[in-house]
Amino acid sequence: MGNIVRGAGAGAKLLPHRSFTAEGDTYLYAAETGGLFRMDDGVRDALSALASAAAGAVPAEFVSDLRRAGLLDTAGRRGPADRTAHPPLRLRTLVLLLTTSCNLACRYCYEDREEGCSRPGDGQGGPSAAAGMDAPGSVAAADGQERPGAVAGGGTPREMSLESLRGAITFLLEHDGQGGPSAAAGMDAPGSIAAADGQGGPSAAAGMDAPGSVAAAAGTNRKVSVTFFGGEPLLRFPLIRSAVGEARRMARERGKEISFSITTNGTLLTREIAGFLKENGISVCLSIDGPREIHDRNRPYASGRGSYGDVARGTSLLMENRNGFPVAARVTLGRGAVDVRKTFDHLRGLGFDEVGFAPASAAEGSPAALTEEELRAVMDGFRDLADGYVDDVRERRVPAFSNMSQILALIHRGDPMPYPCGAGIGMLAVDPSGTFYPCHRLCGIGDAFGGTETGISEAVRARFLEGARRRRESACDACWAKNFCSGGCYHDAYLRQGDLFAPSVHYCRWIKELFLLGLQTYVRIQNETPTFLDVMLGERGIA
Amino acid sequence: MKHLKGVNRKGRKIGNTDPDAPVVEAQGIVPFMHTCTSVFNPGYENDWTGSTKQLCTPIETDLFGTTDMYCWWPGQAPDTYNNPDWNADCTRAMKDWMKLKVVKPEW
Repeated sequence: MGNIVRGAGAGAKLLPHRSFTAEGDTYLYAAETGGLFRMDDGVRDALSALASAAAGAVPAEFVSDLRRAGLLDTAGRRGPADRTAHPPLRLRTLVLLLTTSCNLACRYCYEDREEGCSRPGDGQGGPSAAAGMDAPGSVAAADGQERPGAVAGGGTPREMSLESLRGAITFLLEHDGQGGPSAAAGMDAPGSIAAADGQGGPSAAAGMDAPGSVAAAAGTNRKVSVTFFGGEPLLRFPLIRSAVGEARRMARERGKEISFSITTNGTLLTREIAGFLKENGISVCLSIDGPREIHDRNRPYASGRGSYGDVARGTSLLMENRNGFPVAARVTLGRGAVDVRKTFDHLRGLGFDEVGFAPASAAEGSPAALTEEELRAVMDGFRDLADGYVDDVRERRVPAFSNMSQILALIHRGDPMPYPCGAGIGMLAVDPSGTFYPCHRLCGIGDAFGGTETGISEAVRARFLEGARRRRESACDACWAKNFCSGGCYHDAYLRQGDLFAPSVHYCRWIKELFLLGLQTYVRIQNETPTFLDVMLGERGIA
Repeated sequence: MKHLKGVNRKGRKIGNTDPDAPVVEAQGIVPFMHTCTSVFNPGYENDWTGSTKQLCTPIETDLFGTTDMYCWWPGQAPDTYNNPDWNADCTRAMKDWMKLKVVKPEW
């Protein structure tokens, strides 16, 4: 023990942290720096002394270690919260809402039936009007002709026209960032802002810049990606088909690389579509909730008939036409459908390489929202899957529980995360009329960022990011889990509390439990297979 | 650090920094000075020969002259051992400085 320096720790404020035990050792996670440490008993005692009135009796060497680890407040030195500049827009992923129509009527759907997802044919003869609700597969063959811009009731269009789509892709390809080197200097040092909006969506992580991205500083992104989203995007397959070819040509002309992904309910997949997805290297995220009895409960057609049979058929077509990209299943956990283990095993059996779970976003008290008890059951299921994850790593199998992969990546890099996701930073969504919003879920909610013609309004974007940062600095500042959730999904907060920037307090306890599970799993994996995370993150291009 | 051992990348990074090193503050500890002015030399208006040829210029216009170790207060540039290519595309600094590669620490 070193000298006891009276007053060494006196007056020092303990910054948010979490200590926990795993594998017989005690560990410490410091939220200000993102550092994870194994600690000895002395540190544990020092922490409890600092938390009480005995702060002055803490030996100086412990105070020094804790200060370096980011556990003690040092005047004038705070994290990224003190920065004033928002990161420049470094557009890498554009989510295209091809249509707001959907052939399913999921019970937990966050789209307001009045404004959002609507039955195909509700508009005025949109391209998919011909598709019968319960006639999967018939749409792609419909007529191959696009009739752009169906407008429902004279309001905003519900179907994206080829012109809008072209405008959006041109914007993505020609967008040179708002910043250039000087604005990029206001960014957080290590490329920062890691993944996870916790609510899934089409690969939220894809909207993020890879760390150390050179392109970001130069103001351009050579690699860009487009996500086809809806409603149900396959209702607009003819549009997708022409868009992919055209976008590739446009990208080539501008010396950029473009990649595509699609989030679909899978009911409309045909051999032709699956072949097209394979040929064009389009990665697929399929929404499926598990075995028939679970899936059909929450994801029926509007007629009430379950959609499982059609999804399973679509899935097998996808599996026959694999294109080298992992095929991901996205499970929405709705009320009465929380058997995580059963769902996971079932989907692995169907051939999915990754399975990710997200609780349904729903207003407080809505019948779709999970009850406290159900959230507990989900967490128990996650614990079970985390054990399986560690086993997979030990036996050199690629783990499929993608929520855990995402959390482990965050812990491994340890970057502070000032925003919950890439919305408005690396990712934007464009609605059928060609209007930009921060993400696909926020289309029509809050202020639009601009349009394909007019460009992005920096003032609106700054206001949006300011809201996010204020939330993190006020409500979440003292939370040890702030680097993981950063206040949570904007859209979820909007649904629950009517405010995009309300912290998702309803999930706080649950999310903290989840991240603690992540920390414990991280330690287990690092002890057994220390190379795994570097390899996994490297393969995914996020390390 | 004696009592905390870094486990994740960030933790190890923090643990590996020299505990005795002062909190990083830029210091003018350079073997000798060359080209740029100090308080003992004539000011910014003219150099020791009375001309303006050797005065400080903006980093963009004299990238390589203002980032070497002989500068009194050198501009920050990546080290060329670990990042030999950081200025590969920048043949004419005044024109091409935007093509400089940005090097970020593995943090």
